[in-house]
Amino acid sequence: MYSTSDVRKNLKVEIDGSPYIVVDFQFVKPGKGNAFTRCRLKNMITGAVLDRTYKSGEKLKPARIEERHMQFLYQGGGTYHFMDNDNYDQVEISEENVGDAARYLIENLSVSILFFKDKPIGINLPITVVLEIVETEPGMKGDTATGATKAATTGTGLTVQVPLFIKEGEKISVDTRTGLYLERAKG
Amino acid sequence: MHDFASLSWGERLRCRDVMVQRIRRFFRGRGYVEVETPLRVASPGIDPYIDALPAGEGCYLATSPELEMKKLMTSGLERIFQVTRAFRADESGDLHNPEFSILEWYCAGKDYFDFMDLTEELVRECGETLGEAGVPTPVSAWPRPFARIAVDDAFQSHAGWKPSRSFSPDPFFMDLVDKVEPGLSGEGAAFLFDYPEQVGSLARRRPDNPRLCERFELYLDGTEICNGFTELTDAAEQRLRFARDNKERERLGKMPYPVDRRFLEALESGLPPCAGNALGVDRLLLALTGSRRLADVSCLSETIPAGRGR
Repeated sequence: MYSTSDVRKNLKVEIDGSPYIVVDFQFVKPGKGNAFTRCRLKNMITGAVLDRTYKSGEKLKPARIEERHMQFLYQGGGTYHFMDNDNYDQVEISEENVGDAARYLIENLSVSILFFKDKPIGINLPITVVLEIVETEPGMKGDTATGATKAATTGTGLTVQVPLFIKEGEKISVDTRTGLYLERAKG
Repeated sequence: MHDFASLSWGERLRCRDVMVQRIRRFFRGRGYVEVETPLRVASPGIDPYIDALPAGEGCYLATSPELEMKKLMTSGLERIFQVTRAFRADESGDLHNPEFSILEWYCAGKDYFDFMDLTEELVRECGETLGEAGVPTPVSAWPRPFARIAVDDAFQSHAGWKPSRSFSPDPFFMDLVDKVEPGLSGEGAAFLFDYPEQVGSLARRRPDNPRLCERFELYLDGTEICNGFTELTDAAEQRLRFARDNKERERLGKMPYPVDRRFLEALESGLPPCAGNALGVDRLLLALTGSRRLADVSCLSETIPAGRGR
């Protein structure tokens, strides 16, 4: 069990049978009175935000989140399919739970799937992924040195600002944390 | 006018000094004598929720100068004040630091209502001084006079119950921090007064209602600034309350603290009827400059979080 003194950002706890992650916390204490830890928590399945105040010394139940390395296979009918390369187990995750990660999922991408009570609840993406540009305005010659950018759409449906020299059919590296263009990918 | 947070460290320290000078002028001008009391004490004061830092040889760092200053009030001096430091274990956060500056003062013949008026005067003067130094303050947005709200009324409006009717520490403190204090931020500047007697160990009970004690606190934009009383001067009752608070400490799994016998002797020898108030200097500067974190206003060159080095 965690105590209130263990509370940190990103701590994962179980509340009423659901996994929550601490997004913010604050020490509060009246001059003469009990101390409290005020927490803002996010439900890791629904994304709903919950504010809870814990009395100092109160126990919090750790959420047992298991991380398994898996490979993205395909999506269809609103579900995303992944496979564990060690034992060939397959899991399905609904479009809703995949959320924004869907815009980075390319076939055979290695990801971490988060499990809570043996149920897949989310995806940890690698920090960078390589995506193919399927649509963008043609750039003009001689623009390579400037900082000017244009909108481009990837095969996964992500819209990203890219330098003017990037052409349709080229591949780029994107930071999955920020959704920003990093560099032109080789090959 | 410059936003306080945009000032350099040196300029912020200068503003702090300007405010502290004004505090000293305020009290000297009203006939108060500045005193000093020990920081290292054998008995740190007994409060179920305040823990002292050990200072070696069975001593502790003072959690407040209260007991020592009340001893001085039996010297014949009728008005005393000091700006000193207090230490409290396990308190770290945006509004807490284990070491902090505290202004504390006592005046014979006054009660908690007189002290609410005096505190408001002091806060306004400090705000004026900072304004003159070019720092924008929120004082003009606060009501004149500051709101004065009985604890029962504040709880009734924000939490739907009256603590004096059915007091229990857990719901009281939980609703205080979760409902009442956030509710008070809408008032700008507000005194809470008439606390349940269970949370006023060193305060006099109201003669007409012994369930209440003559205690007040000031909240500026929702931040607790001070804690004042009409002081309890009855040695027998004080002895009982210390015993009760030590019992509560044991119930909470904490070590009881030694009772300060000299303090009880001082009460027996005759502490004059008086009022006292303790005010967080850093919190006051925080509220008067519209800052949000103590770290932005503290004079400390380094803040050491609670629990380090254990």
